[in-house]
Amino acid sequence: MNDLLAQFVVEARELLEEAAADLLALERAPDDEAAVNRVFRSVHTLKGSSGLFDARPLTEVLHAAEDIFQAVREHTLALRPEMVDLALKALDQVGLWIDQLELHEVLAPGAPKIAKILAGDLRAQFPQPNAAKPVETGAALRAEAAPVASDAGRWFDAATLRAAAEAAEPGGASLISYLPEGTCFFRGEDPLHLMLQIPQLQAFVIDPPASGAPLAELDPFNCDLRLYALSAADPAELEALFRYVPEQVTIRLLGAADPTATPGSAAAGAGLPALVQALLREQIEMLAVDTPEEELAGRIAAAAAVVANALRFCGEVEAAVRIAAGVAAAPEDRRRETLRDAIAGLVAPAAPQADDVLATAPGPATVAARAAPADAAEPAAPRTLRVEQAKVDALMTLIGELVVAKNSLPFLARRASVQYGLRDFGREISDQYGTIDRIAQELRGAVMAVRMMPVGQVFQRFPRLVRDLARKLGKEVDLVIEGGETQADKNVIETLFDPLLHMVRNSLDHGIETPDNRIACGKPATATVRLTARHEADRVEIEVIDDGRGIDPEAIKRKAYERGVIDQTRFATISDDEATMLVFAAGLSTAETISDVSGRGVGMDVVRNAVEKAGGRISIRSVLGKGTTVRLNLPLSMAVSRVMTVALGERLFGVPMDLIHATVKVPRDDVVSIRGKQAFVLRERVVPLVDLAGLLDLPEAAIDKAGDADEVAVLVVSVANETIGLAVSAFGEGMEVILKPLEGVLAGIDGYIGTALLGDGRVLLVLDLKELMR
Amino acid sequence: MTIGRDGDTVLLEDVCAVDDAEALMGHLQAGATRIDWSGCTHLHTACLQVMLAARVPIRGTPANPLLARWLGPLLDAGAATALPETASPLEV
Repeated sequence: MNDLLAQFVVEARELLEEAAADLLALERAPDDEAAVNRVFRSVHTLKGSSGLFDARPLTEVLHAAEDIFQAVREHTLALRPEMVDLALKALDQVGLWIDQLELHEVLAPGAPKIAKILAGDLRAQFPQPNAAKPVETGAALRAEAAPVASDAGRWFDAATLRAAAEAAEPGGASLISYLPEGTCFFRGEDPLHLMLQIPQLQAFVIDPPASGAPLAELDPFNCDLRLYALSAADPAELEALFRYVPEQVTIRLLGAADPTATPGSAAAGAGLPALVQALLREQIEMLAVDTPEEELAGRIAAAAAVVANALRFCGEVEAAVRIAAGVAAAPEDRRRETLRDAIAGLVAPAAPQADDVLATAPGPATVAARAAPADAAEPAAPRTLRVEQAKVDALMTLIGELVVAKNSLPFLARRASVQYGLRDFGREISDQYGTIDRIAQELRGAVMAVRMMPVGQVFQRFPRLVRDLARKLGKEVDLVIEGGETQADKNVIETLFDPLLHMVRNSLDHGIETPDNRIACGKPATATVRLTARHEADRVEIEVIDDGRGIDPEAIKRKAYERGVIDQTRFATISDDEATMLVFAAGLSTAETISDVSGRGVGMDVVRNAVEKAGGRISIRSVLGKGTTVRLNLPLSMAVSRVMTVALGERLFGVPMDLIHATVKVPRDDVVSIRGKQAFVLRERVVPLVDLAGLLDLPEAAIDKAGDADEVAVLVVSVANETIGLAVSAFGEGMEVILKPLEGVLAGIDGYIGTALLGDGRVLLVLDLKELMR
Repeated sequence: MTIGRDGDTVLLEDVCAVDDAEALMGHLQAGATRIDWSGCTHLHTACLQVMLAARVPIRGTPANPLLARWLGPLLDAGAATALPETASPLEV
């Protein structure tokens, strides 16, 4: 895929996400002008860049959406809920198309048809022209003036627009378009006088369409001028000034993106969007490459087509036509030069366009550079660098190796002093080791920080989801998100989405009652679902809290018994809390009916498995009639695991630290046999004792003396909610390791999570106890 | 009289109202090749329209600072582009 398209895909996804979020905000508060502006800007920017690619249907839909939000922000169209629905639908479709572009670089064949329907639906939101009453001619004129007004760049160059926007901080400058009626002089109107009264006038131009006509043909009393001005004043103030001629004047607040996004045709090239400039430069380079005679014509035609397309899409129709005609008119052997010069003429010279030149370098940092001076109200985007994850992973692997290499230094120090009798030298090595160890730790911390992402990245997908689901189910739900800034490792964040999705779906489908039901129960009709995240020591805790009907432990118990998940004894003795936990058991769904939203009895146990796989824990708390809280507790990072080493004879194994409950030495006499199985008493509980060597099928010979000692070393672990004692030969030390999964022919072997390198070069096998206990 | 004539120069004085546009146009059609608007305090849109269409050199700085600041550059540019025979349509 070419770089430009790749960049577009990334940017498009961001813009779509932003637009969707703003649309949802608008749905809650339709008067939020800032949100309207943001939606418009996102859609506008997206439309602008989409024009560079072979994606006409996509551009068409975006264009229709852009028109709507333009009208909304000019108050010529009132925002209605169904418009938000439609716009969201359109954005979803655009998202699908972006996926297609990323995969195939072209849209699916059905796209034009879909685009037509969508664009048609969008345009149908505008009042039909023939439905307009005669009284509304003012509004009609205003609508007619709108396309002219939208084109601030036609009348003012980028520098002027930027200066005006700066002067207008933080509100943004307004473009005033005064299109006087021909007969206005007879009504005593003086457009020029009014325009000069504009408070905080920043720039002013007059467009005399009849200027080409000879003086003799001029009718001095027929006004044939159009006046445009930029003002930094409050739009309300401007409206007051023009209150007597509202039908001839359009006042439009200019957004931050406008100055560069709608370039002036007068200063062609100077105001071309950065993306277009980059594209044009690319064509120049392409033309400069030596090409075989027979391919040259094709290459020139291709470049000319790209340039013409690019220009058309940023409104430079004239320039596009000029280039096409110029190339066609040039003699065949001069075409390459003609085209190259024409493009070079369009691309702005570097000096006066410092901003734009900067902006040709891809990346979000440049977006900030472009947007920040124009609209101070918008928080500057953080300066970021896009890096492929593989590169960070490679760095992480290298650091892992560094840690291992570093860990061999203490061995070396010991050898120096013990084997060679160089004590001082050994101590010196130890000192050096301390320094290297510290740097390695910091290095690891720094790279881990690179991999950290805010949980909000996952959370932000939920407002839309909850809204759609709630609507589908006929429920009213408020989603509250807290702690979105909490950070965790990228891998952890990524494993989070599916479990959360299941949980939120479950909440909405099974937990939340219908509004009628809720009112009958004395609750507010609108339910609240909270998604919260926070740090708990070195873990991150995420909760999904709803105030729905809660889980009935009796019902769960019964169902679990019916399905054979628990036996009769358990049914009789199980506590309510334990019963609630049964929702995580496989094959249990309490909903009366199976809907397409959730509930085929696969949901919650899938959630549990996914969370546990990521090294997390899940718990649930519920009060019947009050609501349910599901809590996920995940490690901050999956890259580094804490393990404890245990010895079985000569061999070392690792056990994940988070499973370990305690390490105890049990006198051999205290181990009792119950029906052939061993157990011991720990804190007044009977704990089954399992021989780890036996579990791993290790040959008896390897476990020397274990049977002879009068104490047994027991690692007490809790696996799948059961406490088990593992008999081992000796305890080793706890350490942080970078786990590598078993690969190649070893990949199929059960019982091990992965391997880690020890400081002395040995490989540590880390046990998957859950798997072993099965 | 707010529209005067001094040789080939049209003089704009005080308030140039909508009615003065016709007189201004008359002078320009009758051989005046320059406009001096030093005394002008108010210029009606209609007069401005005539000035823009005539594209003759403008002299002086009008008494009204608003006129000087915002219209000066426009009229200068208009006159400048008017000088060559092949002048393109007025671009401001």
